[in-house]
Amino acid sequence: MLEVSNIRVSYRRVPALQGVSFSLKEGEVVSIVGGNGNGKSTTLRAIAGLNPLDEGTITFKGRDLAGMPAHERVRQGLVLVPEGRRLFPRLSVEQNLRLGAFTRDKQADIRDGLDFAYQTFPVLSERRRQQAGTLSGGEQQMLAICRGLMSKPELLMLDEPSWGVAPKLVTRILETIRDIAKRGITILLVEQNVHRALEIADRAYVIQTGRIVMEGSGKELLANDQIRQAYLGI
Amino acid sequence: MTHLTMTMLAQTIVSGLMIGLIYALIAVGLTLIFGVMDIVNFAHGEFLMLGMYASFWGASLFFLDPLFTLPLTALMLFAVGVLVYRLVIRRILAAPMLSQIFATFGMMILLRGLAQFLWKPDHRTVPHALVEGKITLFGLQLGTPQLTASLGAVLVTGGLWWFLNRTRLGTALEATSIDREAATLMGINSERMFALAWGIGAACAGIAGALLSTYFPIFPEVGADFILVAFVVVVLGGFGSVAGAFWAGIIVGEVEVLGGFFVGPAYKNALVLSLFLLVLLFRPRGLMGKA
Repeated sequence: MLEVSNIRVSYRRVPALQGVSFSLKEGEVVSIVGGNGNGKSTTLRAIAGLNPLDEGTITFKGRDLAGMPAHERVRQGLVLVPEGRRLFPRLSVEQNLRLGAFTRDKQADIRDGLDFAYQTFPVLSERRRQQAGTLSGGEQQMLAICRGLMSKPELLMLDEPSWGVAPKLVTRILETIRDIAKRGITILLVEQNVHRALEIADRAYVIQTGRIVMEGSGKELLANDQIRQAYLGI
Repeated sequence: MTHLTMTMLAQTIVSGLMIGLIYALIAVGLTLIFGVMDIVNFAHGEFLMLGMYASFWGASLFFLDPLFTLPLTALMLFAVGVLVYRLVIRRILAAPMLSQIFATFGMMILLRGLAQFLWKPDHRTVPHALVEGKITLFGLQLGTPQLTASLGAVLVTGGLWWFLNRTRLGTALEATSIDREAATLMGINSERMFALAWGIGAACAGIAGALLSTYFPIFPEVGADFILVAFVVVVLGGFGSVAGAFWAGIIVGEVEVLGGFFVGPAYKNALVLSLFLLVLLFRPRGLMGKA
């Protein structure tokens, strides 16, 4: 479904990604793990079209994304829930959700998305008229994920969904991500919380200083000695 | 206070409200453009001037009243706004702020110069306006054109607020003004939103021009009388806030007219600009601006 091959991205001439390649099959949950500043977010931003490529190609559903603007990629079914959530704080919860469905014209699709959000997280329904900026960190993350689902994506990319979320809610959010995957949506997850990310992933990649250094199934990597020492502190 | 002075005071307050609503309409366009893309449009007064001339020519060449041609004027100015965005602003989106200032400032001079060249510097008035004279309401004498204009301004400003808060396209415009990149991730094409903001902003100024044209002289530099006040309104209301600009417009109108009443008409600009300085000193983000 997604094929990233040898992409290089730099910020003001400082290289951030130095030839990253990986692929995703339809229906998979794939995690990219690694420490802060190793290029996890940059990878997702490049796929979403927010950062231009210096080199390499990204193909989605067999189509080269070169030259396709970021807003058009959403229409193609490629959605990023960005780092830090990036909600519209002074708009209401429901306005945020409806904006997620900006590319959808059918009222029924929008209704579906709202129903999913409000059934999965009833707290969002209770606060639908409240400004998004007044929600707690966990609630904001729930809203961000649901907003991302509003456009009916085929591939949902999540950047640090556990960031700023209370530990109890992290479990709840990761469970939801699994549920979303069960509905047939392919997931690409980036996390600093390596243990959690490997637990829920079918496959995972380890990224270090802008390069993929290891790959394997979530279970394999969890059992790998190097990973255990470097990231899990065991 | 005698009955006479009470009536005069009430009359003054209502005049302040009427002109304030026009200021608000001019300022919402300006603040909308700024809010969405952080560019100050110095040529905003010239959009107003174009709206006035459109009404004037409609009335003197085709004998159509400015109120009648108003939708057309609005559409025309919308097109002018979009065109200005496409031809000029789009090229300077990533340019330093100084370039952006000079680009819109240059446009102001160009449009004024063109108006002088094409339509002469004379003061003109719309012949045989549909609404004229005065009516008496609750013992107050109100100019019918002024009253009509202020009602029109309320309708348009209210309509714009409704559009931004209650419609899909309007919320997308709001979202772009809050966080451009996040809006892109919703599938919103920010360039189209920029063009829309310029179109709507220019249309607001054009409508204000059409409404003013029945009782205000029309000349190439007329924008200068209004742009200064519009800036004060935008700052007082809070950069980028449409609701803020609405209330601030009324406040500025009242300060101007009441100041003229109590202190003397010669000081009205001094009072408005003092208000401007006070806002900058004590509440730089304005009444309803983003923190």
